[in-house]
Amino acid sequence: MQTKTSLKILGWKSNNLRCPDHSVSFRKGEDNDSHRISLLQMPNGTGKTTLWKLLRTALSGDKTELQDDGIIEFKRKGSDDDFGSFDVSLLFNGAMLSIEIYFDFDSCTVDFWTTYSKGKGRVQGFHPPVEAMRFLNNSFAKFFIFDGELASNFLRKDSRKTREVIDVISQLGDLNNINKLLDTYFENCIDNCGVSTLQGFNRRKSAYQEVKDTLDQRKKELEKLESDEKSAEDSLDELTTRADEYIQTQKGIRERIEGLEKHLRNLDAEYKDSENRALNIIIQPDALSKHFAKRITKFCESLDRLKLPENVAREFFIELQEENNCICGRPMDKEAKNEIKKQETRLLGSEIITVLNQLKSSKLPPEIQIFEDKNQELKEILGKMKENDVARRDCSTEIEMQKNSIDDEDYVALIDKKRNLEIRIDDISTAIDKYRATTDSAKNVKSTYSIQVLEKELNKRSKEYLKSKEAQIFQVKSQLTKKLLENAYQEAQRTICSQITEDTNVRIEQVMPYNSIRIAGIENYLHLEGQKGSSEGEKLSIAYAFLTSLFHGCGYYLPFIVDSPANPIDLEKRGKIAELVPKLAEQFVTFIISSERGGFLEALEKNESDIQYLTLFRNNIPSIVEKAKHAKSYQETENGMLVEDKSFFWEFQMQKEEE
Amino acid sequence: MADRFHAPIESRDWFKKLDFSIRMYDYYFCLMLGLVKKRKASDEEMVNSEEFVEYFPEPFGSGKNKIISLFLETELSLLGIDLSNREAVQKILTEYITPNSLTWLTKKGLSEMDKYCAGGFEILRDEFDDRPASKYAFFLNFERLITEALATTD
Repeated sequence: MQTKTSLKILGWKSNNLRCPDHSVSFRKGEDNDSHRISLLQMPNGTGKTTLWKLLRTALSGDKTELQDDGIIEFKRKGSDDDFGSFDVSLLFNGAMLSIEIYFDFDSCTVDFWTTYSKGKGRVQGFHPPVEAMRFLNNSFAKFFIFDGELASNFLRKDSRKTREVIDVISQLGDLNNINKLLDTYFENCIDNCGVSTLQGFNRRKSAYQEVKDTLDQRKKELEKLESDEKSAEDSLDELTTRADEYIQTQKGIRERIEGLEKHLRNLDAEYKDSENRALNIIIQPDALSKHFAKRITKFCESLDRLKLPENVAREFFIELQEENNCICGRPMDKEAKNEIKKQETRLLGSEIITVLNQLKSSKLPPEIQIFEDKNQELKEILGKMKENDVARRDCSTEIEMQKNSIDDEDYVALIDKKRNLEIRIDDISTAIDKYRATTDSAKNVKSTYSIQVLEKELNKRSKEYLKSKEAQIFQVKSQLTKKLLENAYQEAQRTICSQITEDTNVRIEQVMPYNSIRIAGIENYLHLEGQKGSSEGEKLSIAYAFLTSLFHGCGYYLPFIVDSPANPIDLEKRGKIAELVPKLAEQFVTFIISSERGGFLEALEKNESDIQYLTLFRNNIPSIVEKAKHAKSYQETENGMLVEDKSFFWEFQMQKEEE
Repeated sequence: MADRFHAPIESRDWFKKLDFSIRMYDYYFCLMLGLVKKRKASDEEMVNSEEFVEYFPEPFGSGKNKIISLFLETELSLLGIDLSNREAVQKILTEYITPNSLTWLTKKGLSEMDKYCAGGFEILRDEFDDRPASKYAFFLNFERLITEALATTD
């Protein structure tokens, strides 16, 4: 079973502010229980408005109201002290919570300090536990630190206050928060995939499909080309065999061709040998160019000049620091260790020294004869390869000519066929190269042939497509979820509003039995039945009835703090309001003036026995101060008195005493 | 995983007809041109590279000290570091050289060498009208390009 959330005000303490310095406690006895009803009587001019603003600031964490008025305005008149404070003690779910407003009048700044018994001690800033933040914020605090103006707002058609308070109390607002979370998550999805609309998603899909289709087509084309090539090569082999067989029957030509082919094989072997020798020279940079040789040598010599690597490796100094004495015999103290450490960082490690020494072995002898020899050799080899290349081509041409010198009609036709096939194979091979290439300069997908390039593009687009697909699926799911949440919200609110309307009307009837005012329903505001207007007193009565119904059904034990609870209400209705007050909340704290007592207090006392009577006033009238000192309990500060006494409370008449 | 040499993907097609037995030949020819012209590809251009081997394969293994020395000399020159500045030279050596890699190069060192290779490939592409069809034609033109480039740098 869920535990009810409970918040109580245990008291507050004000120091060096416009209201008299005082410390009020609403505790009943020694424990943390509070009085059901605490009446704080404050005559005009005692700083009631100041106290009200301080209380609202402390319980909302919003210091705008203080800053708007000007921080210096809160300073006690005539005080030389530059600091002031207002500290509210709360009990939240059984744990102590204290919110302090700290004023620095010198710099005109105000800061919060929070102390939570289950938290990290006293911390700067407004940091109540997260669960308490639901109530201790600017928009909600005004519902339980009740501002009379709010009563009118509950009934105003253009105000959403009624809906706001129902949403917060019933936690229906959380459903909207889920909607916001869904939106945020979807926005993140969009940020990741870059697609927010169905059109965008379809574009991604088409882009993916375009590459996929092209790739499939290219693979089929390549398969066909490879098959054609294979078939052409088979045919060519067959024709070559037939041509060779025919040549075998022509003795003179056959012998000449055999001689030429043998010569060609020798030339090929020589060419291959030259190629390898050239390659072996070229892959040595110093043999390729004397400039390279010079640069390599210059680099190695500069390492020598710089004494790199050193003869001593870093490890030597690291080990030295662990010794008791230095090699010079001095003790290895902190200073010596630091100096060695400094030197150590300038040295290379032993392993890298090995590599550098091997690099330095690439230094060449000062004479450049080796290069000259190698370079000359390379030039000779390349010259020989050129001659060899010409000879190979001539030999191949001669072989072809010998073969073509046969004038047999069938053979000529066979050779023609063979030549055509070779051309065809070359064409196919060139075409296949395009498909097997690793790059492609085509400007668009449809004219791209490289399968590797298309596969890479497909991979990229499929990732984009999948991401946008995920986002699209999430969007559909979130829309459905939001619809469900909206329906749940509507249904829950309809049920809750209906129940609250019913309960509120029962209470209104109790307060105003001879009045026909009733609530027809709750929209964004309290919709009155067939009535266009109501008096201030009626509005307040309705607001109390509404809030009582709401707090009762919500499962939260919150305090209810009201300034002048009965002031605008006709005398005959005050009693009914007083009957309602004990039912409003677990703890009711009210600021009251002496003229409000009539018609209200008597009825209140009839309905509730646990009432605390407090009177706060400035101690500038000696006769009242004297009387207060005979009260059951009092405290006096430099500029005020706080008296806890029922008789004193009832008899207190500041105005008359002054006269 | 050990760091590997990276060569431009496109160079694979470009050298295809020359049919060198290992890819390191393609890398070497490009690297030499990049070093001689002190031309490096940018980080963005390196995206189009592919890795192939994590050591200097034979027949390059025995001459790797010369290749690395030439690379370091070029890099120091390109960075504007005077060869008499001990501290600056040592800093680069520490950044680029490591005994813990088969190439003796750190990740950073290898990556910078790869950039010369990619820069050299650009030169090859620009200077050759067609892709070389025979090793003889390629050697002749490569040797010419190196000689011409060094003549203009001295």
